[in-house]
Amino acid sequence: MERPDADMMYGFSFKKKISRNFILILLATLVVCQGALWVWVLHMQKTSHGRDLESRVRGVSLLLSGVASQAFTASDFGDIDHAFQSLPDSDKNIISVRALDANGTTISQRQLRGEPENQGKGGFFFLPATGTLSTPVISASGGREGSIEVHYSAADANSQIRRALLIFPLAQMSVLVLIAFIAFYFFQRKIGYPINGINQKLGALAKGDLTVEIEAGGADEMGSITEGLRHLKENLGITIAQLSQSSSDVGMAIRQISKVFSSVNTGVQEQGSAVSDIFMALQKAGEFQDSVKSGTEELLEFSSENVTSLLEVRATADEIAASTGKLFQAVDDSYAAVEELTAAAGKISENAQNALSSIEQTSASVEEVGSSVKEIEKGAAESSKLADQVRKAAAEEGVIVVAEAIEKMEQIAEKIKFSSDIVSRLGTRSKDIGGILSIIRNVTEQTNLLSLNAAILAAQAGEYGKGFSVVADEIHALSERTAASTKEIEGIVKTISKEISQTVDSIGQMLLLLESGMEIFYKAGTSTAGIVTAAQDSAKMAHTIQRATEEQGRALQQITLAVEHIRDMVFEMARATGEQSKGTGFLLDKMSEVREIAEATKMGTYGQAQGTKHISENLETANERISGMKKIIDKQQQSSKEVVSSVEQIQVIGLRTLRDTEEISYSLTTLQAEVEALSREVQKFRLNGKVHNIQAK
Amino acid sequence: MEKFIIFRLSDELFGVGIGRVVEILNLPQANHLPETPEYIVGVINVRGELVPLVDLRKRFGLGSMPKKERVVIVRCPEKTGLVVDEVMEIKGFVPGDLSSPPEIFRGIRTEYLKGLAKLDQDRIAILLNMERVISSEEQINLSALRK
Repeated sequence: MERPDADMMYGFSFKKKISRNFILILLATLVVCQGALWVWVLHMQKTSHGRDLESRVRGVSLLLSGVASQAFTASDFGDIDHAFQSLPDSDKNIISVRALDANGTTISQRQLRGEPENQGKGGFFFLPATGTLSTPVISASGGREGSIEVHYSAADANSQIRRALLIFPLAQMSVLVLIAFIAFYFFQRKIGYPINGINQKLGALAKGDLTVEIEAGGADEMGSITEGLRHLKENLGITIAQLSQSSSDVGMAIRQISKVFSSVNTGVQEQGSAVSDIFMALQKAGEFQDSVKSGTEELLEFSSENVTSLLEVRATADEIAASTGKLFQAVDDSYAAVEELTAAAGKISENAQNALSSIEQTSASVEEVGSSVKEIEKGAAESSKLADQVRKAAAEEGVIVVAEAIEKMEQIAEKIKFSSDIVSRLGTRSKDIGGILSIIRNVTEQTNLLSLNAAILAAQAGEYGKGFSVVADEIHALSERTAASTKEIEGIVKTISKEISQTVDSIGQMLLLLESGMEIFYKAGTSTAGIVTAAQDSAKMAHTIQRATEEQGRALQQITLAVEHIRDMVFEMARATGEQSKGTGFLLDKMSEVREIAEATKMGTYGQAQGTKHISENLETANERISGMKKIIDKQQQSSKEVVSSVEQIQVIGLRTLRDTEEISYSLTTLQAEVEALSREVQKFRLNGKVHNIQAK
Repeated sequence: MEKFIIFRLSDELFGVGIGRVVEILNLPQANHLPETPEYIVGVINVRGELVPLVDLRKRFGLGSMPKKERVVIVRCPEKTGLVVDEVMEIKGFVPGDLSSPPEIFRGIRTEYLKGLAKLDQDRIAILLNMERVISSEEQINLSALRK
């Protein structure tokens, strides 16, 4: 990037100066504020002038209306004219006055002066050129009699406003210009000059002159800026010095590395040519090895043919030996089979014997079972009989006995009820006796009374009544005795009565007991019926068991017969197997003879096979050796091939190394060029003290 | 030997000379008379003859222990029925059994009494003087009842 011209940048024309811009902005702000203020002040002035004018006109109007009021009351309008005429001409504001009655008819008017030429309607700053104020004329009674109209002009007020409109801005402008000059002067002195100084220093620094002295500024912002600039300059100097040193060091290092690399390059190239030589030599060795290998292969082939033919001979011998072996094996197998057969025959015979004995045991067991079945049968028959008896007893005797008992009980109950009735009747009778007794008592009492009266009469009769007195006494004594007897009878009847009631009670209890007894009997009857049913069931079951055991017995007899039959058969079989066993023993003897002969044959064949095998083995050993040699050669060839491929790889690696070193050389050259450029750049800075001049070689 | 009829009032025994006694009756239903003294039970009809009944228990201020209530009709001198708890017997006394009444005897004024009679070893009967038992004024009242 091209740097801008230093003079243009740091020696600014007035047009571009900060102070000018600042002053202009300040002035513009002031103008706007003052303008707004000016507009407001003028508007206020217009309002105040308007009010002033209106109040004056109103004063005149009110005065005239006062006069008019009196005039209307007196109906003498001469006063109004007189008042109109007396208005002073000096008041320039009033153009004309007019008095109107209630109907709006003009009564009187006076024109003080002509209408003004300018008939403006007024505006934001100016008042309307003319105006009319109408004041009503109020009579003493409060009625509206008419009105006074005053026509007035605002020309005077408007001319005053116009003057103010010109003078105010002129004064403002002059003040503003003065302020602008003062502000510019102070701004230039406080800010403009220091900034210029800083600008010049920065220009020098930008040019690379780090020797410029930057003096410390004041305590204000400018001072801190200069201080910062000074720090920046110092740090820049140090950095550039370090950079210069580093670039010279790097240059040296690169030169040395370049030297080393040129020697490495030479070495790698030499190595490449050496590897090529080795490769050539190895290829030649490979060719030689191939010829050796082909020779060995031919030898191996020849040896293999020999071995093949010998192997054929040997195989034939082996086959013969195998056939003989098989023959022998067959004989052996036959022998073994016969032996097994014999053993089996023996075992069968033995088994037959065993079977015979177990069948005999079975037969014995069956017989035992048979006898026990017979016992069971007997038991079953007995139990059947018993069950029958039980059933019979329960059914015939038990039920009948119970029924009889119930019948008897019922009879007893009836009897008891009968007795109870009798006793109850007895109770009633004893009550009757009580009744009779009370009659007797009454009679006795009456008799007693009679005897007393008789005694009285007798006593009153004196000597004549003596005999009668005796009779009366007797009657009295009799009545007394009767009373005593009656009392005794009464006691007895009471006792009887009590006893009867007790008897009735006990009979009732007895009946209850009887009923429960009968219930028990009924239950017993039911139980007996149950017993009968159970006994019948058990009898039935016993019969069934008996039948079953009988059948079982019959079956057992059949089983016994069958077992005996089996026993006979097994016995027969045992005898037959014994004979067979003898036959197989003879066969075994013959077979052993055959086996001996076969064994002799086998031995002969085996010897022949053995000889052939020996020869074959020797030949095989030779063959193996040759093939081992071939294997070794193969391995060697393999190894040499591997060596060749390794050398090829080395060659490739060498080439790659060469290429890499070349690339590095190239990189180093580029680096060197860049370092030199850096050095040149650093040289442009003029530093205090020593100056680093590093040149790339 | 003088005979007396012995009767019981409450638990005391009394005797009236048999010469005055007319007869003994069972206690009939009496017709109660208003505005008469408490001891006047009422009037009964004995075979067409009106006889006033006097309750001696109330007359003597004794309690009632009725067993066989009877009416003893006496002449004093008009027929008057005495209601008693029980008529005991007719007893003859020898003069040795009789004694004159004491000064005061169990709240019964001695003017009613004729004397005391020993019934046996334990018991004593009070012998009543019937003219005294029913005063002459009462006699007039009673005879007014009869008419």
